[in-house]
Amino acid sequence: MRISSSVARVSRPPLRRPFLSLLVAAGLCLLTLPAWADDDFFGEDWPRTEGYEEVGYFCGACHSLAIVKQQGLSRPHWDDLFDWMIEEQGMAELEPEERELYLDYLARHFNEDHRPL
Amino acid sequence: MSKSKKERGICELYAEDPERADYVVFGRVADKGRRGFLKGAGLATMGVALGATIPFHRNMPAGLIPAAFAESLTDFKIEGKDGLTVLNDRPINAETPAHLLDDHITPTERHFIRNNGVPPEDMNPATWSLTIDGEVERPMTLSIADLKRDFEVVSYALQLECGGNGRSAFNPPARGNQWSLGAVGNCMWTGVRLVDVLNAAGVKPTAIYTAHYGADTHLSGDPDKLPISRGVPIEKAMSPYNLIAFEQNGGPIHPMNGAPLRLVVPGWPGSCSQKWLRRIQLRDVEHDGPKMTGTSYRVPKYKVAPGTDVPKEDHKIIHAMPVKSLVTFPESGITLPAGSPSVAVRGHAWAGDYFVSQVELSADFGTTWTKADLMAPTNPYSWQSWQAEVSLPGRGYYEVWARATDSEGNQQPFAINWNPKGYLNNTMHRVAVTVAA
Repeated sequence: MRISSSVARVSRPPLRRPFLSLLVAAGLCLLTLPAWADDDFFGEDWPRTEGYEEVGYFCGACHSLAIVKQQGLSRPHWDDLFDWMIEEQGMAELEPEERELYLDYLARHFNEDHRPL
Repeated sequence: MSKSKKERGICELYAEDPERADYVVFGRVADKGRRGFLKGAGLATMGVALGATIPFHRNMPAGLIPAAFAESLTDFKIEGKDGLTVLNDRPINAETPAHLLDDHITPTERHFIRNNGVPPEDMNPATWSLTIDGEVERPMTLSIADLKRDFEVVSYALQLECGGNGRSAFNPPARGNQWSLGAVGNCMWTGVRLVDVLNAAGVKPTAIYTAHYGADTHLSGDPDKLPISRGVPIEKAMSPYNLIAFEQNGGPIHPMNGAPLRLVVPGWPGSCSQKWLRRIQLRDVEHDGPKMTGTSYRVPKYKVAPGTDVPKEDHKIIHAMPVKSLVTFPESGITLPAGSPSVAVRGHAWAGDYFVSQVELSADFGTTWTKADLMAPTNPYSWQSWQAEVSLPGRGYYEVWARATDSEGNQQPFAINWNPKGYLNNTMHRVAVTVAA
């Protein structure tokens, strides 16, 4: 055991933004490849209605669409979730018309009557 | 695929209006005077769907989805894991089907994964370091070798359960990963006691809360953001059963379970057990790291009706998890040979900071109950395994329900104590068993 003289030094993991960018890029490539074959980038359970590409790419840039498809939330609760992602999770602010489009899509397909699993 | 589509359709119907769903799907009508009367036609329809008649149909509550329809599985593969159902692949979240949790000590390849961010790429135990700082007399930075050399190394069987285990049964749905039953495990963890390390650092009287930090990074790639940093009140931190663990079941910790060093703070939501542990800070205030505040890992201070919008300030932090049990044998949906007089049933039960004092089983929709043989825990905070022989009087469809009671007299409920974020679902596990004609 040793007494640390510089505690703050180890308080945060090293920066790895370049690594992550590569990982994300590689991940997108991997995801895109099968899309050429069967036009199924989003999965067959991602409904093809207005805005599906915009919403799918926006959400899928940071996390799996699987987590979106599991949800069953009212429009106000989707709206709250956007606030949470912006305030707590570093999501970019959306233009009002974008936000409307995304909320319309999510509330249409993944509302409280959408049961997960 | 067609099986899961059918199940989803039924679940949707039942979610909207259970009694109407009973009528639409099975033609079942609940008699006003009784809680589960099945008319002849409805009973026959449900029987056809299940492939069996239901001997205890008169006890079966209206609007209850037969357990045979309530579960579905999908198989994916994660290196070093076996049979887990993947809920989410970025970040990775995967749970274990109940029947694969049959072992008293959960094999490493069957322990669930709950990630909030991106795991670190460097998990080298030789160069790993842990810092203890904040409200301590002697801040320290220790290697894993230091921990092994300077503190007593102990092994405990410790149950860990995700605070959101069971969320998928919430109605209205609660946001987040839709865990069904299997975000729970009971591995043998080896490490040093958290309390010993904190005492070596010298806990100042001003310390009231811990703050845990891991090496995983935020999904957005922003290096200034932490995916999760939770903590516990200092009283819980000083329990002798919290470990700073470096081995899982006598081998290396699985990379997705927090290699090479993690906290195991059993009995409380799994998120208190920071993975890829780099730092424990003692604080003179309640910790306010990511997923400590707002409504994360919190429930309303008072009981609310399903669907209620509860203000943030009316939420309180979850402490110990509630009493719960799991049936791990037989697998739900099993068909027994004609003439089988009974079925051997087994599983586990656990109870947060308490012991389990009793487990009971019913095969008649909760009308009568049989006591199970309940093992003493391997050590405090291990789950307790149990077994029982349950009578099945004749052919047909049965549901085996398991109900545990803790040492304080708290018992598992039948219905969910609904809360906005879908935590603490400790309702009874229901397993479908059919005796062939």
